[in-house]
Amino acid sequence: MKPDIEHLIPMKPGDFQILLVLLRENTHGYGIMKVVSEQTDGAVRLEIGSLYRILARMMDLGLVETSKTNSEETDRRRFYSITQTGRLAAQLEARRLESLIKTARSVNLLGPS
Amino acid sequence: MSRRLELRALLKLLLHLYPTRFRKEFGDEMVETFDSRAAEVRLKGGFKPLASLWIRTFWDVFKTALIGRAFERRHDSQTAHKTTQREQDMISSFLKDTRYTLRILARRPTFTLLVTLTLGLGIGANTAIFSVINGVLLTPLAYEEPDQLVRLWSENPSRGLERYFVAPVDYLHFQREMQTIDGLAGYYRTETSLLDTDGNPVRLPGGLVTGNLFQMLGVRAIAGRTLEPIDTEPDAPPTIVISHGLWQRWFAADPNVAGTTLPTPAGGSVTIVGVLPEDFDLPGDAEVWSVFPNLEQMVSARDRFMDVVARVKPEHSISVATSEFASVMNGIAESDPERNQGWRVTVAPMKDVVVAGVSSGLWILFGSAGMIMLIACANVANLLLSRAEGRQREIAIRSAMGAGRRRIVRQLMTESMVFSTAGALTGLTLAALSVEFLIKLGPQNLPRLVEVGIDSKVLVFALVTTVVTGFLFGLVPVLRLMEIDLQSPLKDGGRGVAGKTGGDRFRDLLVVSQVAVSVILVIGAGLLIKSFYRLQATDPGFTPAGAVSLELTLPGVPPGTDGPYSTPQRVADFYNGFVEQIEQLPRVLAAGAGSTLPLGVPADYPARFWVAGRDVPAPGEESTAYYRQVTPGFFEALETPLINGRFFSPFDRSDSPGVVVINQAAASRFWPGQDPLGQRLYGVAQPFGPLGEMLIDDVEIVGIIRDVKYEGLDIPVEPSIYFPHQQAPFRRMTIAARFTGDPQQVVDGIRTILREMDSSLPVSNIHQLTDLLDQSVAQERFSMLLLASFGALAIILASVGIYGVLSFSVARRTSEFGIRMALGASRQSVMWAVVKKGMSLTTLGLILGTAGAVGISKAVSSVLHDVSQSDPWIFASVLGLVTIVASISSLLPAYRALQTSPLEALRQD
Repeated sequence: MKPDIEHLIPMKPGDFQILLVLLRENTHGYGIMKVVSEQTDGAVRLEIGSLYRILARMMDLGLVETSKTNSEETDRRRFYSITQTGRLAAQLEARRLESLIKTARSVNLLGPS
Repeated sequence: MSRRLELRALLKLLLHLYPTRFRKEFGDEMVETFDSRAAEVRLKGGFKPLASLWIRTFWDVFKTALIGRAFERRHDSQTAHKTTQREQDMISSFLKDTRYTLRILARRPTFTLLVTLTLGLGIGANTAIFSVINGVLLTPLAYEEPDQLVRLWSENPSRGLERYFVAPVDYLHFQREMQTIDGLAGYYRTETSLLDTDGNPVRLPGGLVTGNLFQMLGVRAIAGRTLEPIDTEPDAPPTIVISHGLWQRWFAADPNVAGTTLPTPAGGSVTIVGVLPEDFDLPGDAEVWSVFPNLEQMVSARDRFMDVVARVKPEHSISVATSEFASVMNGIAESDPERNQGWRVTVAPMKDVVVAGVSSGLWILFGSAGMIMLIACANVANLLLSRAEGRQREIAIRSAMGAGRRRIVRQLMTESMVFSTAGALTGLTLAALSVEFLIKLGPQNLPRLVEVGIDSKVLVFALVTTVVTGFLFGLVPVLRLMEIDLQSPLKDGGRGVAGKTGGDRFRDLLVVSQVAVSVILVIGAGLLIKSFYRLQATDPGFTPAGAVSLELTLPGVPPGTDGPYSTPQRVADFYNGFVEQIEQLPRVLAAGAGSTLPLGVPADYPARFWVAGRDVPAPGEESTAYYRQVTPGFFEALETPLINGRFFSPFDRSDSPGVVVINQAAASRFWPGQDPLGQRLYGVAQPFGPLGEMLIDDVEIVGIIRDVKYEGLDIPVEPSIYFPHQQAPFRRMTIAARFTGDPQQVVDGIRTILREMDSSLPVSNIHQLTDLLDQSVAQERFSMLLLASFGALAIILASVGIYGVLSFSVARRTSEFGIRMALGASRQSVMWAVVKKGMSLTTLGLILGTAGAVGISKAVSSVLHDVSQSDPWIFASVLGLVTIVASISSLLPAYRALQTSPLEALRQD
């Protein structure tokens, strides 16, 4: 299934947040929760229900895929990684946000630049 | 440990809300992730973060699962399973019903909230109490094949000794001769001195065990190994196993702790070989276990001091083993008649012993929780019934449009199921939270408290409760519906009929039974509250406030060797000097030492004597009393009053005439109607093993003191004889000091004195006497608080019930009241009509409830202390209280009836 990427933009904040984590490293669900909470200073809290719901949806859309554990550890948890499509979608979303921020700066919303 | 598993179980159950496909793919992973989160939160500690994690997760899973369901239906429409048409019809009509229900419930949020909360409280209270019962009473002991395990005791009825200890020599006999058992093991509660990781001497509660104890019970170490028979070999190095708690406190739960060597204050060392699981509690609060020295060669092998457990062979029943124990004991008695005069054995299943004394209290609480459930169901049935009748028009319209009666019934049942499910989810959350809370609040001496939690059995219980209650209260409106002609509501234009309907009568019945059940509950709670206050007001025979205590044991030495405390005189001198110095401390008013502290760790036991001038009794027929050794200041430190005669003085020394002080119980038991002062006792010098020695065999009674409660406030005082410590020097003593100001300063002062006298001596069990008193009634307080909150809950629910019924009837009779007032009825008469109804229902409930309480109060009489089960004050005040609450609940709707303006009422339709 090759989704039309343009369709995914704008992205839901939770989705984008997870893609940002996966861009840095492949990790398991618990890892995603921890990094999201750290990156946002605890402001965004993903609970397990929402997290796996989003992961399931993004897997269906082909933005995220699972890999077996990154080593031969006994850790049975699945690791998630971002796909090429996911990378593209995150990029588009970032561009969209960037242009929004530019506009916001141009009206001095974020203070004199 | 176990509780974590149980929150998992709850989460796993919740996961079933998700579409199967999703659950299969992500379920296990979600549980594992939750575990990691929970572990992280637990590490930080505290109850609140865990509760908040649980609530957030719960809500999130619930929310996303519902969304997931909605998506799944769209997703699966192409790949629909091959289900039969009939199945699909049922499913789709069920879904339709559910959606319809959710829609109408969302339209009436207050109603929905009220019903959900009422059910949630009922289910929550029941589930929480059931989880305690499940953990304490129903879960098998954490041993292998626990049903085959028995406890074995000696008993001597003629000396009033029940469930007394077993002597090592008898133990060895049983071990050699018993055919019906697979094994026999023993243990003994003791104290072990060690140097902690900072090098300070500490005394820890410990156990001496036979080498086979852990293997026989089937207990495995969670790190390293348990103690084994090889540890009892004569040349084996000294080894110990430690408790889970000590492992965490001293070694931060280091998995490689086995092999660590700990120094002892005496200069030796012991090697830790393993860690026992958290729930292992033989004996009691032990933290360090080591093996008995060779039982056969023990100096005290003939003294009875061991606790014994046996495993009955699977092919034999406990009763067969019991009779074999008895016959082996007969053989022992024949071979050594003097020592065994009057002694027998008793055997009881291990499980009964562990929970003895708490089961009746717990079942009472469970019964009370069940009553709460009944009241909650009655309330909900009432609410639904009122609503069902209010909905007659709606239902009539649906039936006019072609809905069959069966379809309508199913719709109503679906509604109650939706309610009970929502109630169950609320209840389970409440239960999960309150279980954590109960464990915090619960008395430390409630056995097996660590095993309490929400596991699958509790979940099944909650599920069954939910389905049954949903069915019960769902049935009520349905049955009502069956009686009604579905068309008639359309004909009369929906205007309320003034006459009494079957529904009214049923509602009245529900209110009456609610009032009755809450009267029973509140009377039960009242009795328990009064009993608790009576218990607390019991004179313990000493003043708890303003005194601290701590325990100390002087090390014994093998006979014939020399050491600082090797002779009785040295032991006596040590305590003399120690107490004298404590008395010199600033802020200390009085100080003394006693072999046992009231309500503390029991260390004394009954010993025999006979009274001079009376016939010398045959061996085994002597009188017995508890022997207690005290220094002169002990009674002053405890503020135990002298009834007659004198206390001990520093001049009651080993070389002066033997003297004793007795308590009132001894005076009235052995000298009824006579003056015991000046009487002499013989035969008091007996072996007390390593504990100490009675130096004088023949003593005179010089004083009588007030009875002191040693075992517990509710336990009758046994006859006691007090000996001056100088004439009966014992090694293990409890120091008590009465003080003003800061207790910590006093304790620090005592520690400093001890360090200067002998820095190798550790102290333990430092307490304020008020804390000991509190602990001794913790179990009673626990039951009282729970039952009191159940009583309060019952009254609240019942008053909501009365209020609901009356409001409903006022609302329906608005037009009637309007007409009455238009025709000239006074406002008082209208108000009276409403209140009269409320009060007549209440009165009937009060009568039935009182009758019920009289019947049921027999069940609580076993846990009551010094309160009659038919205490008239309690009955009167509960009836008064319920009447007041009921009047308030009926006045509010009555007031609303008064507000009716005749014109508006008539215009209403």
